[in-house]
Amino acid sequence: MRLNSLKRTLSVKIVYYGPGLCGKTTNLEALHRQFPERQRGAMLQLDTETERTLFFDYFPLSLGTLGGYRVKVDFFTVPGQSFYQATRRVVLEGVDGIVFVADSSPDREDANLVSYEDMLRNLDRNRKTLADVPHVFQWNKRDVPRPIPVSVLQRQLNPHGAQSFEAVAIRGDGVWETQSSLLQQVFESVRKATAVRAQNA
Amino acid sequence: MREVVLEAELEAVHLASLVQLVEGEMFDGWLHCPTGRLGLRQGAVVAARCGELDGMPALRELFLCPVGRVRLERGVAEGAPLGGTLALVMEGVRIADEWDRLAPLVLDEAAGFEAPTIGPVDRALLNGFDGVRTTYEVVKAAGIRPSGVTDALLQLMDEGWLVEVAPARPDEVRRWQATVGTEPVEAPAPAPVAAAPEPEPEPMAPAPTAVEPQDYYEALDAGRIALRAGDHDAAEASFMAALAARPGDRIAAQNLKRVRALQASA
Repeated sequence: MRLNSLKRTLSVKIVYYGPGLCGKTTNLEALHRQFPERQRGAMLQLDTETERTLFFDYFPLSLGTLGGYRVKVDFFTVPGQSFYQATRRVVLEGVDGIVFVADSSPDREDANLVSYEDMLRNLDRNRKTLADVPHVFQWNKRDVPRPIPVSVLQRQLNPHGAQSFEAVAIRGDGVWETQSSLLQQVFESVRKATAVRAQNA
Repeated sequence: MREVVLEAELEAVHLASLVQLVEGEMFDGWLHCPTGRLGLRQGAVVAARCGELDGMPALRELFLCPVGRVRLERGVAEGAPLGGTLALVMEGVRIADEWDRLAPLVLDEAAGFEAPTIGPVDRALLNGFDGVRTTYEVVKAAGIRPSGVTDALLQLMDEGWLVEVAPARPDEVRRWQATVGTEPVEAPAPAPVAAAPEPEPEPMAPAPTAVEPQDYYEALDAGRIALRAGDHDAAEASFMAALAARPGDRIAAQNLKRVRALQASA
């Protein structure tokens, strides 16, 4: 959470993490469509010049004012390709909530694990653990033939039982529920943090 | 007298973080980096200078320097924003990641390659790719700024004109990081001779991860690789080694717990 007294904004940062082609961009595009136009900012999408794959997506969402501050949610994705290591670390800096998007395709089991471990490592390098950050899991692409069973995904990626949602992001299924659950956790965390600050003031 | 409001080491604070910080503070002045400087007006980046480069090419080059001291000074910088801060930062970290990927590769031209130039990549540079030297060595010998040729070289690889012919040499990234910002770009070297010279010995970088216990990460990586391969005993040993390198570490402990649960259920 970033409080900017000059700009009178309170911003929270939500990051969609996951392996390449798991549906992070599809999630953000679907979310962007679902929020009212008056609340959402333009979607910024950068692509690499050489690989024709999206490198990074972002859009801001305005949630009105609180105590004279404009409350803003910034949604980001990380680039999935393994070599964009520094980029993922920078995007994760100051993160307030994470959606880990796992690909349910049967041949993506290893890619999910590699990305999950990469996320833990980047959080660690930012002096955080997953337990420090509100997070949810999304089991995306549930419509593929012979998807990885949810029980396997849960055991491999979510042994601590964080909230998780099945999704078919390309149809918009599960996208709203995922972000809604995460934002509830994030704002509960913000509420607790500001309560502690008020007590200490 | 110049008013310095902040000094930091890039090993500890990424340039991307600093640029976003000054945007939030709507700062007016200059951010001096090891290889150049950024001009800031109302927090927006309105100027960039790196050696002979100006504007976006300079900004890209500044992001390639991962080590050294930065200094934020109040002052007056003129000009229109080079772009939205977030887009500039993401472009900077993208080029840094792509150069880190490219620098250790040993490339050679594909047979039948006729295209003499692509953007800033000309025949003289392409002749340097001899299947022995790394991209870092070739670009350095040519006296070219890496940020100016990274995209073009990756495009040539993407199209199959430049191909990997030997295992990458990851130590080249550290060699690059050791020299960037501490020495001027060299004048173009004479055309390479047929036999590739041995790389000159250079001081090793104060690696950005030097503040981290490297054996911890190595052990953690080894454990995760073993776990994925289904070798639970090796994974357990590696996670125990990671825990020994960093006692009480929650990630190593969590992985160890996971592998022991898998052992128990096997």
